[in-house]
Amino acid sequence: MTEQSIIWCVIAGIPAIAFLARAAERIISECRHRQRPGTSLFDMAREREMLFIPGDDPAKDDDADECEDI
Amino acid sequence: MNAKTYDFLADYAATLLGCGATCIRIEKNLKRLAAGCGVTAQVQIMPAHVTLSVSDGSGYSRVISRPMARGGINFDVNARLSRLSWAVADGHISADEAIKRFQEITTETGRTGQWQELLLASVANTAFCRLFGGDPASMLLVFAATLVGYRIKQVMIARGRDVRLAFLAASFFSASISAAGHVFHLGGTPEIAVGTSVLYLIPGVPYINAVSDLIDRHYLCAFGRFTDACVLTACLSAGLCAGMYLLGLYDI
Repeated sequence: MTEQSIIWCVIAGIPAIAFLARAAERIISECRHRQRPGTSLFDMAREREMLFIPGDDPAKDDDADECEDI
Repeated sequence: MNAKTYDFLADYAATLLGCGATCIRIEKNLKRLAAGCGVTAQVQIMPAHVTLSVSDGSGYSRVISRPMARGGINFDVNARLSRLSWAVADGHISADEAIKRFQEITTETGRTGQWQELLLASVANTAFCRLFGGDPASMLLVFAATLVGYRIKQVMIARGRDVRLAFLAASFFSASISAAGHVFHLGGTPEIAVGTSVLYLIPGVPYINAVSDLIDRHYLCAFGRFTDACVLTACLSAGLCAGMYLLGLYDI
């Protein structure tokens, strides 16, 4: 395989794996009848996690518990 | 003064702005609706906010401001809200009934037919590929690329990600997948596949609305919508270029 085709396979594989993982996650959570929302296998950090600025209102922060020691 | 009616008018204007209505439509609908509710309303429309000055003729007026309702462009909601204003203006329903119907319109959960939307957008983009002279192999690639890219956009926006990031990611993966024509020498028009794979992301409605607002002399909103559309276009272009660069497609 050429370098170009390898790169293409990697790029095409990322969404394929992500979609399969989401589908598997949904099937597993439905099978287990979980009451609370499941954690995602793939996710992106929230803006507040990446860009915490001292003075941000913790009441509005979903992740306030994680930021207590900052 | 009926505070509930005034809040309803403000929420109505904010929802119309959020679902992609032009400024002239917001103005006309609001004036019609306000007249049907027995008040007069003047609206100031900004790119991300609406401010209403509502008066019941007693010499006092109330100023209410609302941020634009977030929900994406939705012509169905737009049409239903317009019909609602006509129903009130024609006296078919009362103000209280209008408030109830407005809440029903705005609280219906999400858009139904997400999968139908995905499939139809993919078919439409495939038709674009054919329109520009693509062969069947390119059309198939564009169909697959649009399917993946549009789904990525749906998932990211549903999760509350920035729409610009969603456009960037969707165009990157769409362009990369459609580049299979070049990489694996599939079909005779691979460049058309790459070029048309991202057409579904073009923000046509914001551009059209910007021109409409410009004609109606709402220059601030026109400039705001035009800038928004340009930023989205830049994001999809960046995704397209990133995909082409990574795959070494410099000479398309």
